[in-house]
Amino acid sequence: MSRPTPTNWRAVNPSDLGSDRPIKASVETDLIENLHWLYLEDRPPVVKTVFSGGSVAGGGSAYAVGAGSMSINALWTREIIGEPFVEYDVQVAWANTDPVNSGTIRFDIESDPYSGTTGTGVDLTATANTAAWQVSTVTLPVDTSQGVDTIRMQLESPGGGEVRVHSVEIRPKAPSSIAAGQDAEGFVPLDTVLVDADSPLSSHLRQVEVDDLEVIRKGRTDTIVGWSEDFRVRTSGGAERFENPDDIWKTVLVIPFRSQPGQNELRWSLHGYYAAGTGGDVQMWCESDPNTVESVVLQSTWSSPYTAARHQWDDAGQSALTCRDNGWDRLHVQLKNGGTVFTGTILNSFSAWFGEAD
Amino acid sequence: MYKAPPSYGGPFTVRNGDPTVSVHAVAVDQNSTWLSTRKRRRPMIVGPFSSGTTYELTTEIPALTKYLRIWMWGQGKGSVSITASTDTYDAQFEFSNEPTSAGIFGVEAEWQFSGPPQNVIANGFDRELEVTWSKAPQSVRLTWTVTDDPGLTIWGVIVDPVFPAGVDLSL
Repeated sequence: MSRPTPTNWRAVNPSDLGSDRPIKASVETDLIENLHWLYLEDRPPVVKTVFSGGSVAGGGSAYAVGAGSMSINALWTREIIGEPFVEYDVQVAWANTDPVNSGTIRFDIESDPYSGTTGTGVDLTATANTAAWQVSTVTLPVDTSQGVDTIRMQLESPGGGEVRVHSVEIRPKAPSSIAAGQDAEGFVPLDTVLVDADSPLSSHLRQVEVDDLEVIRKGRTDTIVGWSEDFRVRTSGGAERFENPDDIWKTVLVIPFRSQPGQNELRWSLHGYYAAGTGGDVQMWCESDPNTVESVVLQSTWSSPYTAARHQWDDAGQSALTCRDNGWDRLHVQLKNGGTVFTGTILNSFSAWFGEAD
Repeated sequence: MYKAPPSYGGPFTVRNGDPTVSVHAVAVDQNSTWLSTRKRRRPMIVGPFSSGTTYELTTEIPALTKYLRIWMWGQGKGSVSITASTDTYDAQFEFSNEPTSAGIFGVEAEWQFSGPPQNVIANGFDRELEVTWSKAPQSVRLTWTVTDDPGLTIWGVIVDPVFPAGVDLSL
């Protein structure tokens, strides 16, 4: 009696399921093992960022750089994916040029900031004198009570050298076990005792199996972009942020994507502001619905820490984008500034993901 | 046994009095296999990426993947070489869309995606990169460099895990 957690997907022979074939406990077990494998392993990543133009030296270096004390380098705001995921895997490529002093790479969540001892987060020690790029994976807990949360990356370079981060990938971490009972998403785990050779095979078992597959299909919302620039260099030229100094719309992102059955909504979040000029705006739309344009009015100047610069689909006056259901589409993002001065409207981060499927 | 990736079959309802029928088991396997083979680990990696730097990302590739179809959103003239830690040779992209006006973003950029997989014995092919066929997720290290001729900027990269049509999932 157990709720199996297989490490591999198994191919079930379709001929074993034919109408004239005997019912086999082994085949029924394969069906529920695949279902559990999907429950644990269907893990859409939420962040893929390669820092391409950061550095406090004025840009052109492909990494984010830590300050002398802990400071925010990157922000990604996204909906929580939900059960069974209670942790993220964070894969980070880093280096430390300081020959003596180790530094710190910290990932935490805005809903419960991490101090190093309290809060929700994880510190990775950037060992002194580590050449580019060392790839490490750390585990970041998820605050499952939040609907939306912001993952923050903070770096600290305490010596004269630099703690550098080149790329980050964040995805839900597969749990090692499956809890008994129906979860909050509606998934019902299945016990092997239900399909043992000496157990009656219930018609209702099939209903539970197909319903479980629908829970996975609808709830694992794919991300189409999870990007942040190095926020420390938001005021220096040459950074990788997107910036428009002109009073005309300029396209900064065009993202092709394919939706699955029932996926017809894109949710989004961004951080941005306008540094000068007479107003800064972002607009976005999906090519399949060009008449429905979502516009965002940005704040003027940067205010610490960053929350006033954040905008998202469920803010008052904002909404999600409609996209093509079960087909190809493209997301367009544009910037505009009311004036004609340099360092105008600035986009510092942008994420977009599907709403839950119908 | 030969098992091909299926399409999505949709949900169904089992009602009181329904017998246990094989078609329901077939439908469960169909939807389960479809969920296992749909590839959705493809958020766009936002640039800009330009010449003079080697960029890299270690990324988790989902199970049941054979190839990586790479998408690049580029503006200007030049080439991009991209490698995967699971492939011996690189794949290359050629861009020749010189912008008609100076732009700071990808206003006139174009999307390209890699050509079909090929049997290769050298670098420089326009093709999908190979990964080791696996029934469990795996980490793959991707690196790419830009050579401009002149002024090529890559504004976005998408890594699209795929398997060839007609693949036997039972292998």
